[in-house]
Amino acid sequence: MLRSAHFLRLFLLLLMCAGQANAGEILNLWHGYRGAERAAFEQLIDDYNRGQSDIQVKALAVPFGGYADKLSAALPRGQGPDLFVFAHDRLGGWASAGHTVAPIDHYVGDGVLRRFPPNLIAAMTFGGELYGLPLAFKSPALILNTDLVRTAPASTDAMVAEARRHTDRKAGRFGLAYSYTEPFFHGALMNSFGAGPFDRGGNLDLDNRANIESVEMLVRWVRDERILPDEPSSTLVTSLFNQGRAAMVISGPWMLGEIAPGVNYRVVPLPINSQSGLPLAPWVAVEGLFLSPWSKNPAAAVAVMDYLTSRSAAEKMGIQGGQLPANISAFEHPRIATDDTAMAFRRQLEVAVPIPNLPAMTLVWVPLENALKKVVKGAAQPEAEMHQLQRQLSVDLARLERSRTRGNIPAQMPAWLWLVPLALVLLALWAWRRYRKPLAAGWQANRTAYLYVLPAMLGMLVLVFFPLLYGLLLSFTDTTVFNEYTPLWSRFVGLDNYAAILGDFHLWRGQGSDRSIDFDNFYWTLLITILWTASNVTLAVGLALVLALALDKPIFGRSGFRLILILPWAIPNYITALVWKGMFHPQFGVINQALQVLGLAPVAWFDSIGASFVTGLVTNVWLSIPFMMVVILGGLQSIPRELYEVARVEGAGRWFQFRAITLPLLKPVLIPAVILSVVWTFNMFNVIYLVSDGAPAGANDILITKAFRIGFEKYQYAYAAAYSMVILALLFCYALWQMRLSRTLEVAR
Amino acid sequence: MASIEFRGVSKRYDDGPATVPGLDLEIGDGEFMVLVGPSGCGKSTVLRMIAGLESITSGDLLIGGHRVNELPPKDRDIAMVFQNYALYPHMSVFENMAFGLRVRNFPKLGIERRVRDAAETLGLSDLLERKPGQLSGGQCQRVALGRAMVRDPQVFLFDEPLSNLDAELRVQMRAVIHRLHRQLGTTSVYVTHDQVEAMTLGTRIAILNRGALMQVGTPLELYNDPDNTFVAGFMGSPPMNLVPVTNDGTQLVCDLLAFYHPRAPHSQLQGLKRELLLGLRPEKLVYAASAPANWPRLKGEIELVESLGAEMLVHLRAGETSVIARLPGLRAFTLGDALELAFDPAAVYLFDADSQQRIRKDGARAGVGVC
Repeated sequence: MLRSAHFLRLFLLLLMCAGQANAGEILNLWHGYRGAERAAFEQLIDDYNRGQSDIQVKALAVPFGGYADKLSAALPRGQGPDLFVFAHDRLGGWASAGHTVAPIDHYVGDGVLRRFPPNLIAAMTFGGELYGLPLAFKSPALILNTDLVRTAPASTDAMVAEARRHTDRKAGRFGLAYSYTEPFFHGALMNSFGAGPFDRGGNLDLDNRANIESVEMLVRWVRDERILPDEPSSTLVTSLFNQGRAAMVISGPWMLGEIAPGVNYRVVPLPINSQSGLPLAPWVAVEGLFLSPWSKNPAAAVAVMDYLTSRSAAEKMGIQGGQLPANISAFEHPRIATDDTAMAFRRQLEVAVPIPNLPAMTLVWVPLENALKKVVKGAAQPEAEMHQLQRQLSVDLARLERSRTRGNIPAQMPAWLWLVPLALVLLALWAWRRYRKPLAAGWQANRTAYLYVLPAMLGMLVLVFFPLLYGLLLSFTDTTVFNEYTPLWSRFVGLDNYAAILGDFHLWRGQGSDRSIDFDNFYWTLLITILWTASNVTLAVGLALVLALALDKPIFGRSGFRLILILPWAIPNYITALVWKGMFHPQFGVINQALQVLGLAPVAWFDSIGASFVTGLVTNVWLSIPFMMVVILGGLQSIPRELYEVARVEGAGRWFQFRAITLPLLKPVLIPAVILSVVWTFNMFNVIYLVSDGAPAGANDILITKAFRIGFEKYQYAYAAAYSMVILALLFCYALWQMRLSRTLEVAR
Repeated sequence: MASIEFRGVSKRYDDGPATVPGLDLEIGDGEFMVLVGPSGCGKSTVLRMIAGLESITSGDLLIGGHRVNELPPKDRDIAMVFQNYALYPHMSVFENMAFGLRVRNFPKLGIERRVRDAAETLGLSDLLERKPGQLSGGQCQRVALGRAMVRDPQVFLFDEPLSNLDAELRVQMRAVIHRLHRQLGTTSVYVTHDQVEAMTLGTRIAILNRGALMQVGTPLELYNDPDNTFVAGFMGSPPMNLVPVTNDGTQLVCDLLAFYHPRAPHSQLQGLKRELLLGLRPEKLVYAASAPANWPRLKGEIELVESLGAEMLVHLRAGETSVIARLPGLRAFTLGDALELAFDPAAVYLFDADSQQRIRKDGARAGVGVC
């Protein structure tokens, strides 16, 4: 239904295109707005189109999920829109990759630039060139529950003192709540000490004194003052605030729509940092209008930018779209000027710092978050951890940088590469000569069978073999986010990635008291993966066996029990994983609450390697039991009853019967089930990623989640591909060994 | 070795009707008792009660003079052979046969000797290392027998052990079982629905129908002196002809014949009911031409002729009544032709048409014929 509506719209659009072909030049504009923002934005575009006839702007709302990828894929290939709206933090990556955004300095006068505060212009600038005009901004501020806190705290000391008064951990009440381990929120503290992740030259500088002090201050708030909840997700922050159990939260305009109707609140700017004397300066995300380098009429496109960022447009977007407009003159409009909330964010903007738009920033988010999680749990000292992080990220950055410089060299395709297609053609010719006859005979004899197999084979070719082959090719290159558009041969590095993965035996890092295991080392991850697989399969098979044996007996309510035990199977596993994650929450999870009811100490589930491992283990065993149990029940029911009767007559006890009859006769069903279970568990991405997320600090990552992180959090695509190939090889070896084993068993039977 | 005694034993599953309503039966020491009856008659239940695999609802079961109602199977010192062999597929022949001894922690050497002896007796010596999957049905059943033998139990129980075998193997295995019983002399209870097996193997046979004991006796006793139509019809192949006849006080009449019994005084026939069943074994019918003149004749139309080689089975019909005759030699008959046969009046059995019970002369059990 939706799809047909979509097609209809597209058709009408095409008709309009045809009709308007002569009316004027057409500019395409992509944006990711929804709801009121979209309505207001499209209204503005309509007004523009009606106001003149030379240029017609066509707006396309792209679903947000794939928006960034769509831009990254279309623009470098000369496709996509003339103009697009996007957050500024990707600017550096796009600008340095080339062919994605174009500078607009030439087209923009000072008059236009004066509309925006300097920090928003800085967000749109990369390498000294202006690439877009800011449209709107979003930054966190302090939100007070006015029933609990009347006046806005002027300093962090006052805020902490106020928070302490409202904190009662046993009752689940907190003076302050925010996602403090997320770098986006920690930015406020970091910037208030006068530094940031990068120095003025754009070099990574995470472990400078100011940044370390910011982390130390956070650690004091969490561990000494104890005014903040554990494991603070944005959902938890919202729900605490809505229940009146958080007196103050740090969040942005996106949270306002989720505040429950009965809760009285006020937004105020963040206080002054009592230690440094500077205000807490949150990171601001700026939505900008960017110009495609492929636009045929950049001047017209910039004129559209000019219109969309004009005062009247900004007022409309502010009033109708609920945006915080970047053109600050809009805040003088009476309707906005009287809105306390909007004005509070406006005041906050004065000290806010744009998120660094350097490409390297994409690498900082996840490792910094892991480091923050580690230090707030007391698993590491702020100073040592920040030094460690700096070292680790420098290595990753150096790798990316290497790939970029390599990409800059205009490489000629090496002559010997021509040998590859030549060899392939020769191989194909040889194979054709060698196998022509049997192939033709096979085709003649089994034409129908081949036709039936064809669709499946085509599907496999496209969905399995092609990606596999592409992954294999990729693994011999040094493809990263920086050089993915350069020709493949220019990225070829041979077996370097494999050597880096398999040849890294430096399991320890740091010196002396700082010495710790390098959780990113392949062999550590392999060890965890093997432990994870072995413990899961053993426990799942063992428990499923016990349950199946119980349910095989004619006990009361057997079919009811069976249904209940099979039910987890019917629930998508990521939902189960999220439910378990919630149950393991150190403060609000039902497991720790149950432990406390029983008089036991609560466990910080995600703080230590062992406990965190257990969370994944429990979840996955829970998920695996139904399948195993069904398989084993089937196996049990296929064992003839007489075998047990003979044993009873011959005098065998239950244990002897189990050992001599049940177990050996279950082997034919157990072995395939165990093989499957090993492969599934080895690659069980969902449970690790969603429950423990590799906590602490990636120690509990298994190979597959590590490969994901390398690929999509560190943007080292080729290295991740090589990692995946190693996983594939391991599983392949396992399958061969297992097949040989079961064949010997088969013969023995 | 031991005797087995059932005293009013009954078996009831849940709230259903009794599978075995109340059984009184004595199986002597060293006897080979065959329990026979149609499917679902409760014979296997009786056997499984002896084994201890089924509980007993009421009554007493004694083995070797001891009440064993509550005794678990392993303490009854019995061995059982199942219809589908119940061999452990993952164990070799040797391990299968040694199973019971291993369970009972016999010394290794003792196990080895006993298994090899049993294998020798059963001709399994060359197969000891094989798995059941590599054996034929007959070999499997011999392994099952071997497993039962090695422990030298007080009682052997056989639950239709030959049903899964083809006809030829069945004959061979019957001989093996027969020989074993002669050699070992162990009390054996054997369940089958095949009356030929029952006749050839049993020292005595107990015929069961719907859980009730119909008659117990030696094979010949049951054959020659059945107590009721069920036993009469069950033993012998083809079974005894049971012809409904009307007693008019002087003779017994049906569509096939009018039978005036020369030796029965009128008064005796007059004392009987009007509706009777006349029993006559097929082999007791002869050609009228070669029979003494005073033997009663019966006449009917040839409906079917089954030739068995040395003899043939001729189905005769007149009106609603039909009989089967086992006649010697080969003769060309045309279907539909009339044929006259005769029989010795002394070979006739009379049954009450209502109660299906045998009508005996002066209540005597022994001897042939009523009249």
